This record gives sequence, structure tokens and C-alpha cells, in this order.
Amino acid sequence: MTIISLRSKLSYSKSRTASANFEIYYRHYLPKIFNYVSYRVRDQSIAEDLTATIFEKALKNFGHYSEKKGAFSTWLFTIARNVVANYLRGQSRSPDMTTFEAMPQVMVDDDTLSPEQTVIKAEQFRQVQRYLRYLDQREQEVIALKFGSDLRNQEIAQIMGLTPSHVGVLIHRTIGKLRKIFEEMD
Amino acid sequence: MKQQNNHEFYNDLSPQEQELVELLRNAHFVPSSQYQQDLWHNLQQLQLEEQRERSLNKMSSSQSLFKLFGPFLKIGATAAVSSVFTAILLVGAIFVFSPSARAQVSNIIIRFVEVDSPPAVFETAQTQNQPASDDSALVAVMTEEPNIASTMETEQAVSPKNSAAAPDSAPQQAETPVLSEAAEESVAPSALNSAQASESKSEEEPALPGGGVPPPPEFDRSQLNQNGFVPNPTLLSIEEAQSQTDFAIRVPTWLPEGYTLQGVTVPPDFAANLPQSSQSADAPALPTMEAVTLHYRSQTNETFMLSQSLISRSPLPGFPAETQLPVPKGSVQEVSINGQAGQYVEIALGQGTLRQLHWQDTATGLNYDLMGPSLDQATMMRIAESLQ
Repeated sequence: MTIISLRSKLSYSKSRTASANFEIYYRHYLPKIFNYVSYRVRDQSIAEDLTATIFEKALKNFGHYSEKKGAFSTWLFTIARNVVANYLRGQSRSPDMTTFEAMPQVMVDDDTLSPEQTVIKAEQFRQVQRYLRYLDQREQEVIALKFGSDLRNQEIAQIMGLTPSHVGVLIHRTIGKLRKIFEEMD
Repeated sequence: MKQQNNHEFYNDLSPQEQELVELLRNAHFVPSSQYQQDLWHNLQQLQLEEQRERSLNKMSSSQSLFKLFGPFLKIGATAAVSSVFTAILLVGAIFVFSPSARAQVSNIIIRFVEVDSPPAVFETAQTQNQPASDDSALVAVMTEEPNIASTMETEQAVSPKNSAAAPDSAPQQAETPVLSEAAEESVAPSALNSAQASESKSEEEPALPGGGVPPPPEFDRSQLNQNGFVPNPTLLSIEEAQSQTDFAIRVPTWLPEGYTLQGVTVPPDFAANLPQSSQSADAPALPTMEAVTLHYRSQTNETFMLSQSLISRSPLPGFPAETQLPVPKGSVQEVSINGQAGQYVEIALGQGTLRQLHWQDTATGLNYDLMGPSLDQATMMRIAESLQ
């Protein structure tokens, strides 16, 4: 679902209540939020708990949200980033012992791949997720926001308090760093 | 979106890095469908609880406001009620203890009653000391009034002073054979008794200190007749009545079959008998009135009255100058009697109908009123036109 289709849905439901609008946001942003949180914690149960917490907070504060303050995605991912940061702050002294089994289910969107290739891609994706722990928190954050949440550099810049160009450089550098880690580990 | 994201940095990446980016783009962690449903259900529950809490907070805030301002509201309401009650008491006290205010209110009520009531009702109520709205009493009085004989017998028995005038009225008796002997009495014993009683009382009671007005003597109910009304005035002959009036009394030359003249009554001069204390220079001049009333009765005991009065040109107090007959609207019919403009009034009362014909002789200024519950308009018109 694209942003344009979300806007059309919201404009169609202008006469509906705030709770109806929240349901539209929920249906649209749940996969992105869950994917982002999973990038950050790489554990299904924890990702589910944190995702629930994020949407609960969003629901409680939905009355205070105004489009004049910014895009809903920016507002929602700011909440998500704070929730995840609070969780990770409590887990900073624990070693990351994430296993493949604990990770959430992975889906590969590529119709050109055969089922076997899809399974291999999913395994590679899980492997990359494990290597993400070797990045620092800001690098993990920008990778999660870029690929987990599918946000643009401008949105990521607003969420992280950086400039869009700084975000682009950070992503480029982090991808190169991740590639090196991937090659070293293989 | 992916194409846009590619444009941002994709072309600057090495093939290995591009392959890594493609992997990260195409692969996603996805929540299970059960989780999505459960989470949405929990969020709905949470939403309901939020709404419930908001309503409770509103209630609690209103309750706290009431706790805060409730005593002030109670005090305000009590003050408002007590001030209204005090105002009512104040008005009542002014009305009770201020004779002028009471008199003004009484005047307003009397004028209202006078304007809204037919004249016969008003006069009868005043004469008989009965409420003006008592329609049945009015009809009873009109039917009973010419029943003079029994009343006259009683008066003759207690009034030896008047018995001396009996021989003078003998010719009148010859002219009107139906007229009772007792009708020849000229002074009502009730008036005499009342005068004697007041004289004796004024002798017995010492003057009040400070020149105060003594309370009026208690009303002697023995003066009332069997129906509780003031006894009827004395009936005179035409000649006797003529000797007490300045205008020429006119008598109808045509009467309905069976009707005969019972007698003539002359009302006292009220203005002349008023005490001096009640006649101030600032007060409006009371109208002077000379009037006679001819009473007729049929063999079947039905009656009618013909009043002839000479009223001063000044209007009655409380009535506009052009008012001749204050009666309810819609009941008056303009008529003409021998070229003189008149009014025929028909008012339905409780047990009968009051019919009155009123006209004025513009040459002499005399007012004529013909009243009879049993006469129709044509009969009354014929009687009126036969006056000589």
C-alpha cells in the first residue's frame, strides 16, 4: 500500500470518526512498524510486545496528533523509535543471543525467484539481521528506518534529527560497512 | 517508492552492495495474521476504556465543581426564594396597613366590575347587597320586587307614623284598584329604625379620644326581608310621585293584556344625604338624579318596570361621557322609539333573560328604561311608543 492510496482512503473517510481513521492508519502502518521493530530487536515476541506498545501509545495520543505538525508516519515512527530505544536501553548489558528460530517470519517479495531461491533469500536476510548487531545503534537505526520502515531520507532525517543528505551519507556508509561484515563472516 | 529510494543512493553502490540492498528491500519480517487481529482487538478494548475513563473524568470534574460551588448555589437559591417571599409579604403588608393603597385597589376592582357588568346587575347588586355576578339572585329579585303586599303589611304594622298619610292616598287607590292599601305608606320603617338606632348609639357611646371616628354600628340583619334582601321601597301613586319630582311623569297608554300598575317608587336623593366629611372640594361632582319607577304586574304574577330619570349632564365617575348604557358588547341593538334613538339589550343570565329597552328624550333630557324578563322586544317597543 502506497502513501497515495493511504491519503485517498483518509480523504474518503473525512466524515468518519477519529477511531475509524486510526484503523486505516493501523492497517497501513502495522507491517512497517513491526518490520522496523524486528530489525531493531530481531525477536518475534519482543517485536510483538513493542509493536503493541507503540500502537497503544499512538492510540492514546491520537487526539493530540495534527497534520499541521507533520506527516503521520513521522509522528508514529518517532513514538516507535522512543519505545525501542527505551527497550534497548534496558538490554544494553545483555549480549545479543538472537537465534534464527526466535526471529519473526520472513516474507520475500520477488516473483522471479523460485521457492527454493525464496527460502535461500529468507535465510540470507536472517543472516544479515544477525550481522546488524555489529553496527552501532545509530547505524542500526538508520538501516531499520530505511529498509524496515521503507521511509524516505527526508522522513528519516526528521525522525533522527539529521539532514537528508547526512542520512544519505550515513546509509551509504552503513551499507558498505554491512557488506564488509557480510564478506568477512562468509 | 522503491524506485525513488533507488534514486537516492542506489547508483553509487557496488554490485555487492546493490545485492545487499535488494535483499533488504525484498525481504520483510511480517507479523502473523492472528497477531494482527489480536492486536486490533486489544486496541479496540483500550479505546473503549479510554472513552469510559474520559466520561468518568468529566463526571468527577462536574462533581468536584458542584462540591466547590454547591454551597454558593444553595445560598443563592435560598436567597432568591426568601427575597421573593419577602416581596410578597411586603406587598401584602402595604395592602393591609395602607388604606390609600387598599382604596385604590378597590376602586380599580369596582370600575372593572362596573364596566364588565350589565347595569341592572350592578344596580341590583348594590341595592340588595349581593355579589354582582349572582345572576340567579338578580332574576329572583326582579320577579319578586313588585310583590309589595306582604312587605307593606309588615311596614304598616311597625310604622304608626306613616299610617297618618293613608287617607291622602285614597284617590290613588281608586285610580289603581290593584294597588294595595299597604302601598300607601310613605316612609320605610327600616330607615326609621336605623336612624333611631344610630341616634341612641351616638348618645350612649362617648366620643373617642383624639377625635377618632367611631366604628360603624353593627348591621341589623332583622331589617332584611325573608329572602335576605333589603326591603323594597314604598310604592306611591302617580300623583304622589309627581309631587316629588320636577319632571312630568309619562305613563304608557297601552299595556300588554293583564298588566296593571302596582305603584311608583322614588329613590332618595343620595347626594343630598351624603355626610359633609365625604364631600370635599377636590372630589368630582356627584351626578344629581331625579327618577321614578313605575311597577307593573300581570295576573300571572309577571312584572316589568319603567324607569324615568333626569340625570345631570356630568358623566358618572369612572365612565366616559358618551357611555349611556355600560353593557357587554354584542348584546346591544340600536332601535328608534318615536324618532328617538334607543338601545335594546338582551342578556342571558343564569335562570332567565334580562331584557331592557333604553332611550332618551332629547327634548327633555329624560332617560327611559323599560325592563321586564317576560316581555319580548316588540311588546317593549309598543309600550315605549305609547308613553304620554
